[in-house]
Amino acid sequence: MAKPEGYFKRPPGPLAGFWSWKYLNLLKTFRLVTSNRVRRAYAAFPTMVPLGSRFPEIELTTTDGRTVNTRAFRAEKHFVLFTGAIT
Amino acid sequence: MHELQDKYAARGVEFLTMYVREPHAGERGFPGYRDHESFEHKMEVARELVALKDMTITVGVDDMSQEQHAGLGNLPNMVFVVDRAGTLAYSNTWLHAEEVDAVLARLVTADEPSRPVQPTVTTRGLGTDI
Repeated sequence: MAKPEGYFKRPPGPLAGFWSWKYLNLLKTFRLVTSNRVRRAYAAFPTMVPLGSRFPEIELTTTDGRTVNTRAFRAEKHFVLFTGAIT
Repeated sequence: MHELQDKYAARGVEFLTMYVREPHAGERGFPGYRDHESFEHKMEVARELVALKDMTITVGVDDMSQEQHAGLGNLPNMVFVVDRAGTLAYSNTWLHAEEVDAVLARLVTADEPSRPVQPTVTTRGLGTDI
């Protein structure tokens, strides 16, 4: 489903995503988006866990103190995993 | 995220957020945030995220080594849809809600063809789809 060319380095939206720069350190952001390390990370993303492959088990401690392991979903549920932070 | 959860939770889809490093700690819009200093600090900020965004999706914290995050690509805003067989059905480096909606609609319709689901989620007009 995902298009190999469909990986975005920045959020879409107004000003081609540059709206978010209002909140960021411009120099740091410029260095990030032009760095080879970041370019390599985005280029490698489709190959880290290829579509159609077995997804690795993820175990996390939840904010309410439980432990959740995606193994529990197997054969029971589909799941969507997001990664994120406040900033 | 929550619109997707509201639409699909009853159709056997679980939603999980992995709270990861703060990519813009201390920058212009986020002066009050700093890099995580311990797992407890990381958990504290994760709880703040839940409160700030009024999140009903389960939020879990990776340990300080961030090995699990690194193993998935080590990018800040990744999205993965995994089917019940444990196979990766979709991934992206940003949340494109319309695409996730389309993948989930296909998966849950395949589970129960008598109850087809159409993609309906749109982010048009929100300014951004994150």
